[in-house]
Amino acid sequence: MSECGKCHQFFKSGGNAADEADTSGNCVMEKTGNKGKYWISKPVTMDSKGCPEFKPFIKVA
Amino acid sequence: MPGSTAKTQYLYDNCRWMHVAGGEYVREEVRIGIERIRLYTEMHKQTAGQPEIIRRAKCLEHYLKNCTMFITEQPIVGDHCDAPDVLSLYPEMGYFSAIDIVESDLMVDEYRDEAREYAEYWKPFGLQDKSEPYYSQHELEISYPFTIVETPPFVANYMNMVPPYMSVLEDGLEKRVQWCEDQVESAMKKIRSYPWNGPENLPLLDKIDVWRAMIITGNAVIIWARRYSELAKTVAEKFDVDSKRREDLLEISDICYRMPAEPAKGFKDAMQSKWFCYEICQSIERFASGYSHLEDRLMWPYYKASVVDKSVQPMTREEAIELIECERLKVSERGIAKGRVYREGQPGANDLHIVTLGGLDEHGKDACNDLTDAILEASLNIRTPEPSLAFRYSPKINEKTRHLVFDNIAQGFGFPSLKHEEKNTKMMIDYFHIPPDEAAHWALVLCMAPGVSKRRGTQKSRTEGGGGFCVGKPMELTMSDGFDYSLTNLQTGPNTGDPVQFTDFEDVWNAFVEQIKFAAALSFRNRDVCRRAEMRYCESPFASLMDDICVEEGVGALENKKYPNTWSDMTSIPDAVNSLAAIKKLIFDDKKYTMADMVKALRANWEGYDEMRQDALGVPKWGNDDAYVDDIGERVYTMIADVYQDQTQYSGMHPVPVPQTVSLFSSRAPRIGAFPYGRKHGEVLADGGSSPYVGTDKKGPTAVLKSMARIPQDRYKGIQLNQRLPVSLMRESGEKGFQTWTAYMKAWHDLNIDHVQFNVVDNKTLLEAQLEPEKHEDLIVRIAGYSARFISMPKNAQDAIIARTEQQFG
Repeated sequence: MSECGKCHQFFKSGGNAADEADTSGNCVMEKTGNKGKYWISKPVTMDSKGCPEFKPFIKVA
Repeated sequence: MPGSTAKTQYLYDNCRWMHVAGGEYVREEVRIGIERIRLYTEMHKQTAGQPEIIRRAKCLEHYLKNCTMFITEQPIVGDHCDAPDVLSLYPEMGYFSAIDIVESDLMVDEYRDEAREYAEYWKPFGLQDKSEPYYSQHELEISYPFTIVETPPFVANYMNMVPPYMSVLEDGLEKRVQWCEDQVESAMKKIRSYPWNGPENLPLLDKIDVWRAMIITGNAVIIWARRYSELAKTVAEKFDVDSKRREDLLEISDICYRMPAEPAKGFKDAMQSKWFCYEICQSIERFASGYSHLEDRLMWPYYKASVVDKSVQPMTREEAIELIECERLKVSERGIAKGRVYREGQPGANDLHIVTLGGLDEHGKDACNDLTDAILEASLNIRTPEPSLAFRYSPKINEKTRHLVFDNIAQGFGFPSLKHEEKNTKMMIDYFHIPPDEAAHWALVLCMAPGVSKRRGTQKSRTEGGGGFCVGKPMELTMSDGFDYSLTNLQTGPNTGDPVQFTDFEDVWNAFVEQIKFAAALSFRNRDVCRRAEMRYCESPFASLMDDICVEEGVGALENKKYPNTWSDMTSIPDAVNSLAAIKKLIFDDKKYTMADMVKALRANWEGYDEMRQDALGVPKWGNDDAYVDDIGERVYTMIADVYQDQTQYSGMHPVPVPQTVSLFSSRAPRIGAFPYGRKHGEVLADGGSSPYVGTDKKGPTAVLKSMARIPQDRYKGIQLNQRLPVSLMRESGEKGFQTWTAYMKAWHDLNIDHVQFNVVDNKTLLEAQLEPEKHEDLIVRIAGYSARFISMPKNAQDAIIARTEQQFG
């Protein structure tokens, strides 16, 4: 099941990075439109339901 | 390509312009989003029963903590929407405008049902439902169509304000929040003290609510800014960006962490802090039009530190100009989901963004600095119509700066518009009783009217100053016993008598005065009724936190009235002057026609009355230094100033008039019937507050100025004068152009005339642009209170610009 915490676009908030109990963070995505790039950030938690743009971490062998 | 550097050239080329044409956004990508209305509704429901100002604060807090945010390739960050090209809804400010947008093609289909549900939820809580019970149905019906009065602010969803940026730049929000906490503690101590004193203590309870609301919003804005800091850092460290961009993003991250929480130190700090506060005050906490500030003086300490002293955030002058160019592009990308009336009313622009420059200090000395020049140079480089510039003109201003003002005008931007420095400062002191040091720091609130702009008492609502009524409609109603035949088929004005029975000019005059009085009283009533609702249900706690008076006294920004700034606009005065002159001349002096003839001709829209119309067009017109019509003009302008003095607004002051048109001379023209001087129903109205009707000034620029001098200028806060000067003089004659213009400005200044703005563009270019608009996308012209892209204007407004008399100098 896709959850934000398993997506490589999820970033824990800077202030709580070391706090494992705090699951809050941001979904940050790079977008490219006809007027150039922009980066968008939405508050989510690690257990938020993943969206259609869910991108799982790729395990490196 | 506009732009002084590769960066601003790139940003110009990729600017997400937000201007409108025909009431619609020009770029098809523009859509309405759901986040603001969704988050505001969530919190509004959760806070039922709490003090209204606390609810307002918590709604803002909830939005700022949970909204989606983005950064683009701009060095200045901060937006009020969840993605580029997405705009927000403000349902608490007017039901009609909100539901109109929800049902329009602008609304994303996916969210339409949800947005409709929210708009209906807000209906009983919004300004419209809170104001309408104090009117009869008939009064509402004559107020809404924008005929005699501007659509009431509780329906229009159009406000304006002047954020007191200086307090935040100097203090930082953390200090101001601490100040509010101290105020709460002090009030609680007083409440707990012995003996109990109800009359003294109970008012403190409301003040405590206000301070607590300020604290909530101040802390929320700090968190919001730090979310931008974190986003910039994440992009710098986790995304594939080049080393220069990474360096820039880390600097942005550092600035957003400190701004606006802490005092600004350098130019980049100040620019970012100002922008954050602007977005909150005018696009998130609620919508308010404008970009009002005296930028060169407000930002000078920080520019000086970075560019001159190089002590903090050192940068070259060229880098500072580049940042100002970026600011102009950032403003050009600010879009607002305004009601239809105002989308139609500002063609070629996206809002009335006007920055003020120049002027004298409180000692009467030239207050311009190198930043004044840098801003003017940036404008020349980037060539955006927004933000418009206003310049406080005095012959005491140094020649280098005045030359840069001239250079901008000569390019045809239509700005800076010029305001008479000494006249306007004097009114701030003498009429509004503003302390001299604050009076000397005025900036235009929107197009024309000055307001204080330091730390205290800045204007926060259009219900204090703005809006207005159309003088042309009362003129039309004078000739129809108050019945609106040309648009609504309603008894719109009072019954002032069958005009056919009028036996002398004074009968016409008296009826006209009664129609004006009715329109004026209705207009000011609409504002104050809305003001009451704003104070109670739609306060702005963050704007309150920014204002020293509000923090000192524990009052909301909209409730505060310590520094009144009561003014309003009216359009179409020269139409009334010319109409009265035609009636007097043709009917009562020459007796060539009767009142019955005139009434029939007007009702027929002059069809079948060609000879009579030619006679009417031949009567002397305002703006030619002709005593026959100028005597009437002086009488009309004096009467209007008297009527304004009769009114008293919420803030306790009698308002002062600011005749100007924005683009209403064009967009409102179909709502005004034929006029006695020969104008047909639908033809454009007079395009300025005092300017001669388009093409009717035949005696040269000096004659225009002499007519303007007949107006009691000191009883007016702003009087718009549009003039057009030849390209051959302004752009092609070298120093002769500057010298001639300087001589003109001296005559203007000596005659104590409030305002003037210039179009410098030839008809050949304008006609080519009408035929091949795609080749003239960047052609800028002056409309009335703002500048805009010529090709985005309606055809009748384009034709009016073409028809403006091009003044020649002998």
